[in-house]
Amino acid sequence: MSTPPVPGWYKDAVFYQLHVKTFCDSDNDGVGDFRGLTTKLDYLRDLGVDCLWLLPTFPSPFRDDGYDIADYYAIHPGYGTLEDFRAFLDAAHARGLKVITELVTNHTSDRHPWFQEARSSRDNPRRDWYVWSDTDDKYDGVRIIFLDTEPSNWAWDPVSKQYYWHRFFSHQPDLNYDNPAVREEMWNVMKYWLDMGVDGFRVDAVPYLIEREGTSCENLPETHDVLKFLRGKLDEHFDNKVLLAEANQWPEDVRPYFGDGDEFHMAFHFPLMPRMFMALRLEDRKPIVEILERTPVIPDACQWGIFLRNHDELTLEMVTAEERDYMYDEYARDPVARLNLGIRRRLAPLLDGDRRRIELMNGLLMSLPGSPIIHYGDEIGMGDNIYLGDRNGVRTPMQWNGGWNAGFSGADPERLAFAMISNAVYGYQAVNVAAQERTEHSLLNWMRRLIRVRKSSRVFSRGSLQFLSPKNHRVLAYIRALDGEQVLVVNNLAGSVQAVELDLKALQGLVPIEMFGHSVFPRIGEWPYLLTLGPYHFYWFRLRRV
Amino acid sequence: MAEPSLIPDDLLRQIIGVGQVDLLIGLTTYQHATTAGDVAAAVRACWRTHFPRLRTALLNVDGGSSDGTPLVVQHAWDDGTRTAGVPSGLRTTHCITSVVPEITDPGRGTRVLLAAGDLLQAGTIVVLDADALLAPGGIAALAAGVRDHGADLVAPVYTRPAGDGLLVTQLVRPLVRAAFARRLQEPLLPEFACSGRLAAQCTQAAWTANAAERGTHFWIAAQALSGAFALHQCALGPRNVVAGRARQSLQELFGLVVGSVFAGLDAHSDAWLGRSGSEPIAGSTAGPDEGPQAEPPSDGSRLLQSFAQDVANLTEILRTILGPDTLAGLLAASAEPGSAEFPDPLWAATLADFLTAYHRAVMRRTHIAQALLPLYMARSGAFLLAHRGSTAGAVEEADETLGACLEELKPRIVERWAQPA
Repeated sequence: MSTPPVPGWYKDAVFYQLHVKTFCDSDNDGVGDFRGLTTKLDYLRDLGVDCLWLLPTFPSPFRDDGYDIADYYAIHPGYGTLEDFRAFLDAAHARGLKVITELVTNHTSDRHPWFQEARSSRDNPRRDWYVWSDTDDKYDGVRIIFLDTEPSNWAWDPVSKQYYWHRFFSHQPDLNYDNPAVREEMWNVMKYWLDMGVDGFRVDAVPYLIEREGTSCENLPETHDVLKFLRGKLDEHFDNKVLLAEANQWPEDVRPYFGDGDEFHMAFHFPLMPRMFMALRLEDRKPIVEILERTPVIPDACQWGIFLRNHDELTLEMVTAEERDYMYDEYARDPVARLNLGIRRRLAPLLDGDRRRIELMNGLLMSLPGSPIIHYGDEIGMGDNIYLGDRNGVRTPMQWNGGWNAGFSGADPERLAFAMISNAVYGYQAVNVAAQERTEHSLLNWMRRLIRVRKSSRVFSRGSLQFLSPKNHRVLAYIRALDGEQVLVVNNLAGSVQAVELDLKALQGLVPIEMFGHSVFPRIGEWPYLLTLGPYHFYWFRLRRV
Repeated sequence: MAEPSLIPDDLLRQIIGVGQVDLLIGLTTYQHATTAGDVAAAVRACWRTHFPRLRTALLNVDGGSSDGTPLVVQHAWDDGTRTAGVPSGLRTTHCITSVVPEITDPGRGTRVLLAAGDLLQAGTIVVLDADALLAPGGIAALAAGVRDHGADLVAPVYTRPAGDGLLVTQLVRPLVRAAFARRLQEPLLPEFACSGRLAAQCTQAAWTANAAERGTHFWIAAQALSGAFALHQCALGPRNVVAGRARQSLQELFGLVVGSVFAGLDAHSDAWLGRSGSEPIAGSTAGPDEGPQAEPPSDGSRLLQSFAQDVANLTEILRTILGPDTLAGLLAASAEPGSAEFPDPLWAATLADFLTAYHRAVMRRTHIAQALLPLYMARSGAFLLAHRGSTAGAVEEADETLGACLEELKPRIVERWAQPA
């Protein structure tokens, strides 16, 4: 059953990010695939999410877990065939689930035929599809993103005897978007998948498309020309698709990526995410309030994507040095957990497996402005393995049950793409979907309920945000409002019981009704409204005139 | 009759809002608009530089200033948070102001600070002097004594020019050394740091302490010296007292200091009567100020001018207070016209006898303190004349000699202590 498209559906959607490689393996080769994923669509529908975001599934040498693409027009054989993908897409749509895939625009694998051709000779027609230089001092001073592995943004090509530009791994040469042919081809890639039925793309690494001497080579004006071109093509040919930008920048620097509603529909709010963790540890709302008050207004048709964790390290690029040191000291005392100015841990281990804190953080995720994005496995509190190398520790196989390979695959455990988490705390015997489906008060069932309550009101997805400023700085309180509907959200960021007096004079006469249990609270009067909250507890109150 | 609560409602509400702190920095003020802003700015700089991750609050207890002191403090604090281009720090900062009328002296205001610190569960409390400007590093050093060295009381040590602070060096310090057997350089604690544990003790004990005892900060030092509390001293360099502020007269100040010291020693005698000798206190000492010495503020000879007349006028009173040998020595010292000698043993005996007389309440206690003033002035005059041109090191040695003298009289103090009035 397909539902008619809803304009701006992405503003109301709850997104779920997953890695096909580690979600479900149907042919027991140790690697997840589309057929396996298709068998789990009911689970995802029942979770309550609306849109699946798939990590790259293109043919790739997998030196960057698929973000090094060798063919934009195919599916990696390990994940299945194009037919498998189409079948998955149809099945997802039949369940009301949308699907967005990755679009890695900035670079390809050095194994991609385009690069193989480009490097074969300086006269090759594809030469200008990449960025070349005789020396490695061009664009001097541009920051290196993968600090732990790359000493330079230039790599020497022994074949054509020139340097090529790469903002990420050296095996991922940057495409040259000053070349119109590159732009056209990237549109062709998009159209190919859109014609097949995908609902949009998460566009990787957008700030880095263009290079200019004497600049940071990030967020340049010409980049927006490229993006407007692609968006223009998209709007010309399709309706109700979404482009989600990965631009790890300060909010005011992300704002241009929305354009005037003619670039990206959505963009991740990267700076908010570490500040949620900071606020929790500090027991102080300041980091969250400051970054959101600094966040600019975006066009009406646009939306922020907010998240707690994803497939990458918990990035600490968009924080001050003081904040970074604090986060490392508080959340990554083991230096092995640190990678590339970030922390490669999952949500539950970051929060010491504390159910109350996990709930609070998810409550914030679901009630702050933006469309929430859940990283697969966080809904059951999966753990991680920081010793797996790169960021693979947060991409381990989904834990479906306590049996063979957690129900992920029938293969020999040694054959799995990444090893299962098997310790006594987060191991699949202890943390898995089947066990939590049997337990009424499991985290999984709680998450289902949380998503249901969030979706019961569009105030969370589209409403305004007004912070309250109670004297108790350990309480983060705000009002979300839309078309006359108002919801009061109160969060205790502290591990101790807190009392808070809220100035709700402007809402005098309204009755707060708690949204999970529907308990009626005393009517708001002229005096400060006193609430007490247990450790890490939160309230969502629908404010009604009774 | 129950004493009214130390914490007024508005302060209590602010404390509830702040919750817990790791470091509370307290400041009592009364008509301090010219200095309090600089103190608040120094506190803020200390926090940002030395303790950026700590939960910190500045608490200003004001006695009802008419010159806008609380607003000056608040503005200086807020300006620090809003400096353009400067990161504002990880945490919400707190500047709590409470106006408690009638609190115009530091001792009473400090009671409020310590009680607030107790409610805030502050691990470390630093109490500053609004009349002096302590650098951010100095504030941090005081706090570090508690946080890093585990001290319950961190007392300052100043680099004093020769002849400075005679009330402390000639009277308070040697008395405290002899009584408590600890060499505390600044027992009056112009500024100090204490642990939450000591603050809790002081908050409870202060309910029973009498008003005379609470006139200065000595009662806090006495609490620490009497109980199982760890003491630490911290060198802060020269004391930077702001000039131009109205000061108490010597008579008022003397009465306040001597009254609080005598009352404190009396109240805690159970703790020190059995002690003998003296031990140094851990921490850094300032060392003598070997720089060029400024002229002492007072002329020693002028202080001695009325020595003979004062002794003659007070003879009958002194006969009640002093032992016969002490009185005889005093009469002999004052008999020589223009005499400039007041030897250490005589002064030490005088202090010892006055202390025991205070304990035994041989007369009204305020009169006892008043009677000591002219003798103190004579001793100060003699000391200044004897050490005119001396180096600070020589003066420090002289202070040490006086302290040792009074230590040797401890048995005399103990014996006279038990005598009936």
